[in-house]
Amino acid sequence: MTGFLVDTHRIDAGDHDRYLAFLRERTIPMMRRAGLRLVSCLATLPDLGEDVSVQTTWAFDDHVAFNEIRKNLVFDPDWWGCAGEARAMWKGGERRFFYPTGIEGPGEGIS
Amino acid sequence: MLRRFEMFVVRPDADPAAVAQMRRRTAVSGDFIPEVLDSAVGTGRVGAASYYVWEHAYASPESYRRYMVHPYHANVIDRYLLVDSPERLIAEDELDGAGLFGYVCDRPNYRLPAGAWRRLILLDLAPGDEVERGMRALAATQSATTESATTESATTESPGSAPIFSNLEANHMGACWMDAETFLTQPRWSHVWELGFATQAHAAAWDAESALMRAVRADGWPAATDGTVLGAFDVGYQVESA
Repeated sequence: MTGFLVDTHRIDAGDHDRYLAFLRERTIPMMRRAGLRLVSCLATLPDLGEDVSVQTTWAFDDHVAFNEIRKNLVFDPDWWGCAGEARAMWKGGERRFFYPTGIEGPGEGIS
Repeated sequence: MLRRFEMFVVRPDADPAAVAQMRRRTAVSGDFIPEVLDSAVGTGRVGAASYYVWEHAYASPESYRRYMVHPYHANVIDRYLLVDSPERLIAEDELDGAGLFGYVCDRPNYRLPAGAWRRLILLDLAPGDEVERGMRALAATQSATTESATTESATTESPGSAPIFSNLEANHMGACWMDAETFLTQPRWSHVWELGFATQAHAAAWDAESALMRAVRADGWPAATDGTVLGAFDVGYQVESA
């Protein structure tokens, strides 16, 4: 069963552009290299007078595949380096795995 | 059987409630992953840092591999540990490479009741089978176990300072952490010497009486073992129930 790794990071609004650039240039290529597929990368607005939440959603085939992905990450020096640099911008966050519910709406609402 | 440990320094700024949750949820892993046996936790100190130990076991490499792909592992255990998790509660490696280690054993003689004391001495042995045999023999002379060293008798009533058990084995799980069979990495510590004591006082008495430990304190591991042990990482903690 396909699984979805959903990381939500809270960052300072002032770090919005820098953090998204970091994701684009460093984290996303590294995670893809390990075998994860990027489903979405969404962020709250940076001009609302509050911290920004950045949510990345990754897909993987099943937990057998994820076990291999985890091994690939552990052996990638960039995983350790990226995490260290990103953590300096994190103010909090959450990691959860999600799974299909059978309720589908592919592409609905996306334009 | 596969005896396995994970040991980490908790971030000093970690939320105590989150740490308590991590301890509870790793301790009860066996309730969710049937392959996880003898799950318990403990806390100790290395210098100023507090470290957290999750001790457990598996019946076989096949059991271990089922643990590795179980959703509870990725969903819950990894949440607190993985370096890129926003909910990571542990610090960078401050335990000199002693994060994940363990060994192969024939039977679960390591079982201790809550409140007992476990000592883990991770050894960096000089290479060679003869060296390993020599260290095993040396350890055996220092750790004649109590006559009734069975799982059932591992109670706080054990007499004297002798360990309830003493296992010195190669750090198989440090090397074969992916599937318990494939050597992936050379672990920092080549061997694990696990000892169990009825109480911390028993462990302290053994430490004081052991000729090896006295020599180690005086001269260090290499000199005390004629170069057999190049270095060691030595911790102890009270076993807590899940």
